[in-house]
Amino acid sequence: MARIAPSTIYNPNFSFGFITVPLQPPATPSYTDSAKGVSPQEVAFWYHLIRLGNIFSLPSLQRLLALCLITLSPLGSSIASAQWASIRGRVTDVKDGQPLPGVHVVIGEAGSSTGTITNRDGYYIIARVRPGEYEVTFSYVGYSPASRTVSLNFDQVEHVNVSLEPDLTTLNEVVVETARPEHEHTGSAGFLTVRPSDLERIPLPGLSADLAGYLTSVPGITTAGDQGGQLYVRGGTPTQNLFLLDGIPIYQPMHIVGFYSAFPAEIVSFSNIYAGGFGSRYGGRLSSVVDVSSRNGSKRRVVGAASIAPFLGSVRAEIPLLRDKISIVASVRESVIERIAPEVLSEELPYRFGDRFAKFHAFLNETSHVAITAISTTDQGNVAGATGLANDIRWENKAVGARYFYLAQTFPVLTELLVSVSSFEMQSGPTEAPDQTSRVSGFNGAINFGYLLGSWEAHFGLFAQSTGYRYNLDERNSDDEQEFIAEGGTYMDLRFFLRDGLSIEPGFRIHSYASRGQVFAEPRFRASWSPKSAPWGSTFSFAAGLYHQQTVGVTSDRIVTDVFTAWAPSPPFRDVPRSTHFIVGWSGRPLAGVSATVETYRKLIDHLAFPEVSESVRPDTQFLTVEGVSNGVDLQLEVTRRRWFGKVGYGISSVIYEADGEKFRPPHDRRHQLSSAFGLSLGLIRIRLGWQYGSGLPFTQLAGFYDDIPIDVSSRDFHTSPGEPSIALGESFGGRLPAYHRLDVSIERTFTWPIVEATVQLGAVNAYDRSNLFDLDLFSAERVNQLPVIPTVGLKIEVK
Amino acid sequence: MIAACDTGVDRFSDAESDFAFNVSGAIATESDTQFVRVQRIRNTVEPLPGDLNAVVTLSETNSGRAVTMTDSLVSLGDGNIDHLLFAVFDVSAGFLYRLRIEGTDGDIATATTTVPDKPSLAVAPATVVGARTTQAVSWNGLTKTPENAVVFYRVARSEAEQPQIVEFPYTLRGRLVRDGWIAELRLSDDLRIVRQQLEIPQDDDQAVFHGVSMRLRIPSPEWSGGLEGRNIEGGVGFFGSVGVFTERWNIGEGAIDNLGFINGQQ
Repeated sequence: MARIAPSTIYNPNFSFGFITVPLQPPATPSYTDSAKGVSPQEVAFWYHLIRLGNIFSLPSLQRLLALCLITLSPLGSSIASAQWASIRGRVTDVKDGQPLPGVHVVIGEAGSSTGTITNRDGYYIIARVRPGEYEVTFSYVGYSPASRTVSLNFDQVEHVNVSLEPDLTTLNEVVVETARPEHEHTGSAGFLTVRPSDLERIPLPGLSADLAGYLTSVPGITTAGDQGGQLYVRGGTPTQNLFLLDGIPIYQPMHIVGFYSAFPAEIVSFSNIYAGGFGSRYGGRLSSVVDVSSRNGSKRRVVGAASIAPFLGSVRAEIPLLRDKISIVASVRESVIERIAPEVLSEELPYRFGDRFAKFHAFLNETSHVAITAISTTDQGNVAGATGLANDIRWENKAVGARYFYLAQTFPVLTELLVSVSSFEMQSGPTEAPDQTSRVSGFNGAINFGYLLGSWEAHFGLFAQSTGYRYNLDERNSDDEQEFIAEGGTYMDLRFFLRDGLSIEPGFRIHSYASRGQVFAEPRFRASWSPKSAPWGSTFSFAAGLYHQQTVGVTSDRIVTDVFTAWAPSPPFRDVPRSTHFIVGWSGRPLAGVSATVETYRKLIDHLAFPEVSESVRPDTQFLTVEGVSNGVDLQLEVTRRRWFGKVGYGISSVIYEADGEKFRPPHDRRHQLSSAFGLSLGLIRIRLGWQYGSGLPFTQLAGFYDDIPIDVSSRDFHTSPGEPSIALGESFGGRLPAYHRLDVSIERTFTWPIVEATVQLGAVNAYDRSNLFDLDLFSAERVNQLPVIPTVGLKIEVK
Repeated sequence: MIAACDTGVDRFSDAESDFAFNVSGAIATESDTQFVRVQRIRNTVEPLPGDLNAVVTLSETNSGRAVTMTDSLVSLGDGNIDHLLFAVFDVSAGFLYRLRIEGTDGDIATATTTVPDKPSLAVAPATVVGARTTQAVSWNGLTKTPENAVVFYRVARSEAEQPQIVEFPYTLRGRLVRDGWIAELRLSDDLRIVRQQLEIPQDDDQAVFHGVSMRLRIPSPEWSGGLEGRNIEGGVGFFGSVGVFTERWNIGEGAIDNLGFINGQQ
């Protein structure tokens, strides 16, 4: 395999485009060599950017129309006066026509080659290529490489589409399913790309690998355990994470049983995960981004799968409607654990959840496609057992969105148009008369552009959102709170690929909340350096950025198990919560098949509203303004061999909040986290083990009991009135819950027929039956444990 | 590793800074004896009546006057017993008072309250419109509606009999204005009811009007602090004060005559 010089590797998450103005740019001098000055493409880029700026002088409706016209108009070929050639195209899986992101595309000879990798849509562009004859090589782990010979003239734009064939000789080996493309260990600070094969490494009950299971194995990402569906990323809280599915915001995609989310491996093409330091394309959250791209569905033949296991059953189908052009994919998963637990385990496990996903995808032509994605999730359960704390919780997400992607005919430009609506509703208390309710719904629109100009790229875009909030923290005694907020803004990320493997990405994001009259400017910066002289193929990376979050989640924060969250706009009389990230990382491959990463981070949080410690959040709950700091170090080591793999991650972190001069550790301050996974492949049999450990989470202990004596201004009844037994809370979050750890094991055997594959899985969750504490009723001392040992038997039948 | 194997959890904090006492009480200007309930914070839900092992002191910070409160056990409505501390100690409007509970083990809880200042009363002349007689009274300086406002009429059947007192609630009949709280006394309406209650015929002109007064109960700011239990340092519960202020005034003779009473005001 040809090794690409690091300086020519582009980030795989590029997918944006540029402004296509239906007017010609002003006449420019003819350049034949970029070394002598700027290229025509660069002139065009700045011209179009200025045109974009002029649009802001128009009235708002006209602006919108103008933007649409500019974006959707094909770039006239007359605009191209380039003296360079370029190669572009799409790489797909020959089996089902699925685009392959991350494929290495190299022209020239190894060592002196130039290349790129395909983006999330399987597209690639190699711009500014000197005229001549080249061999273009396409390689991707698990697939047989392919090559094409192209002859390029001045101004020529050569389209080369390729379908790669799976490498059948290694299909059943662990290495095929798990090895990462070489470039990915050099992922920059806080960033991680996760593929379905990564998800399948983590043993889960049943045969439905899931992004949630993977996330909880990543150092720096913690949960309260296996219930509740709350995710804490490097000191951030669950509502500070931005989840996107094909660009659609999903407010709470994690299911009530923590192994599962709305993102099963079967529908995921890949996921970009930013534990912090994310670029200016993303905003509106303080902590992290999980950007999931779903599969388009097979375009060659009908494929599908059905599985049943103690936790859930699932059905997925991918149907080509027009061969190689149009497809749909649909997936339905519903839990069964709540129905079988009383019979099989003699124990109530009152967790009901499910998700439904559908996607329509169509190639409009060789350079554009459109997709419509819809998803809904439901969750219901009692995460606090009989303690009565936050019991009977329910939530559901509903979202639908469309994405249009366009690769310009001549210029190295990608354009993406996103439109979506998304809603989230949550209730706690009895179904017929909930105690607390929250509903948030919003419209989101964005236009993203990317100019890919060889040694540098410009990614920029416009976005607009309108969000409606309605919540009630005390349904019986108060009216709903309602508010509506509109947001708009723009961003730009520049990427410069400099010498000796150095790339820098300065970025800037400006967004405004019109109804509040607030404007925020957020500088971002990312950099990575892969010096050729460094041992072990080392890459050093850095990321920093400023972030604001106007939409906040109001929770009790008393204990991580109280999961009710009311989404609301940040109160107008408070400063908008803000965070600043700094990440420094190193990654390398000290040995063949061994990759290692080390990252240290510091996350500063300002103006965070934190409720005073009480049983639950109520309308009269007092909120403190806290400043927080999260520091930590994450280590990860992966070993991949022909028949086995091992992965160990360790994270040490410290989260401290300060309010009114007093410091305390919030309830998600998990100091130590260790996760490991091991897989062994013996022909058609696979054995997997996963072990997780998390040190105890803070909680507020009791100072003791007392009688709450009623006292009245007008009487002296308090002299002899009996009191109501009550608890006096001690130092806020001064105690620690016991450590959490769990071993999951599974063994699978696959039976293969010509087009059908059946997999049988035996396994156990919490194999040594650790009594992990989930919730503790301070009054009664009743404890609620997390999942007990649960033996599992699963069957999956797949039509390939 | 040993800690990792442990599944137990201690729900009680052993931090020294935690609370030791539960305090419930309110001092009032209307009484020369003050009371306060004090409990030890305990580690059982059920009460543990035992020795309090604490000295409770009430002091007036303006003057330095202080008293050690006497411990007593009282039977509660549910059959349990509890510590009720008392002291003969009159309190004055506008003064700051401190309650201090010091356990023999060194635990300390304190609370302070400032007794509300007495507002000044302004009374307008009675107004007669037809058969209706009213009078506006204004308590200047109040910024909140008083917790309790009561008007007392002292009326006797005849000059030979002792006057009797009939009270009317007026808390909801007043309103806050810029300078204070104002209420309009419905003299004719109220005294008609007084006659009914004292069984004086409405046309009897031998009844004697001895006077009218009004009493306000004004809570200290601690009462409006939202959650109870927020003003005890080193403990939980509530400690506040109540200013009880009564003012008496005379109604003009013409109005008394118009109301059909003999003027007995002094």
